[in-house]
Amino acid sequence: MNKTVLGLGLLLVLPLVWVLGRAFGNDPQYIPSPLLDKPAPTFTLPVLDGDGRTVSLSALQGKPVVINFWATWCDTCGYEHPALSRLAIAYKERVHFVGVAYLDSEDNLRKWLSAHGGSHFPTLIDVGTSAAVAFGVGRLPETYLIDKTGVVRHKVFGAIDPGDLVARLEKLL
Amino acid sequence: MIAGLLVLQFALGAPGETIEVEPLGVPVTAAPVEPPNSEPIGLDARKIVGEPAGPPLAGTELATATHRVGTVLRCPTCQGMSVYDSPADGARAMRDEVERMLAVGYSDEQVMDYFRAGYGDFILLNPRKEGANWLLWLAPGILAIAGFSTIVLKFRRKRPEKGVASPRPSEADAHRQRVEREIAE
Repeated sequence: MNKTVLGLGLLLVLPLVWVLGRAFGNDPQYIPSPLLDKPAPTFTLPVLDGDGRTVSLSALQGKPVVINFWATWCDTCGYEHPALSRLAIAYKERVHFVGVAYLDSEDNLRKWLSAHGGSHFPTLIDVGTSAAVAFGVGRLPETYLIDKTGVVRHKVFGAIDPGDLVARLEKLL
Repeated sequence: MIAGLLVLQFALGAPGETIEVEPLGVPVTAAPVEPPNSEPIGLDARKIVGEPAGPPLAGTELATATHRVGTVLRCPTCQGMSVYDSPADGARAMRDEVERMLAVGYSDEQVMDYFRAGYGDFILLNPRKEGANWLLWLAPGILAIAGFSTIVLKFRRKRPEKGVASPRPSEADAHRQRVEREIAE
């Protein structure tokens, strides 16, 4: 075979093989967040059963914030909820924990929380899913760590690893 | 570090242990809550993409614009489908968000920038024509031209050149005449 043709072929094919090979180890559902190391989008959302009270992300600056996007129809969310609750208790004075309910009804949330013993952090209702869109939420659960100054520092895709979350929170304190 | 380990031990809990909880409706709020109506509910898109650049849309114009933008935004949960075409709940919510933004006057570009701010370029079904993305746009054409050129070159090389590979007609004729003569004898 002509060496020029062979060289040209390799030049064209090898980059494609490299790109495809790199993607083999990735989760196709994972969406890399462009928000990392950037100010978090600020939202104001109503608290479930909060009698009209709201939580504003901008008002939480000064302490690290853990935002957990979840829903009652998400099995993995139920799996990680006890660990998140424990962490919320352990870091009660030092870290803000908020849950943001995504595509769920208040009735379902009440029933689910009642069945799972309530919650140790407020659940916010994502009206119109605007908060989920602003944070680039794809598949639940997703958890974001925001530092004291309101900058997004980490995104957890899927269930949290308590050990990893603790290590990251300790760095943010 | 030690404090972190203690917290982790607490977070993991003992097997089968239940968490002591507050009564429902009186949560241990790890985040301060504000009194009713202190700030507008939701997220202010103006903080991300500025003031709406165009006129508010309604009716057919709004439906057309929603289709135009919705078909170029990728459904994040189903992949390979646009938020307009996907039946997923998440895609439907995103389509509604697109419609809401267009209705108050945000331009197509602003709506796409709003989604890109959260999802990055992943959310665009068609990569933007800039930087390394040009490779994605041009590679198929370059590969097609290279492939076609290779085939043409190979084909031309295999074709016999006139007057060289095949015997001259006069020689062939003389040979055939000699064979025929010998057979007849």
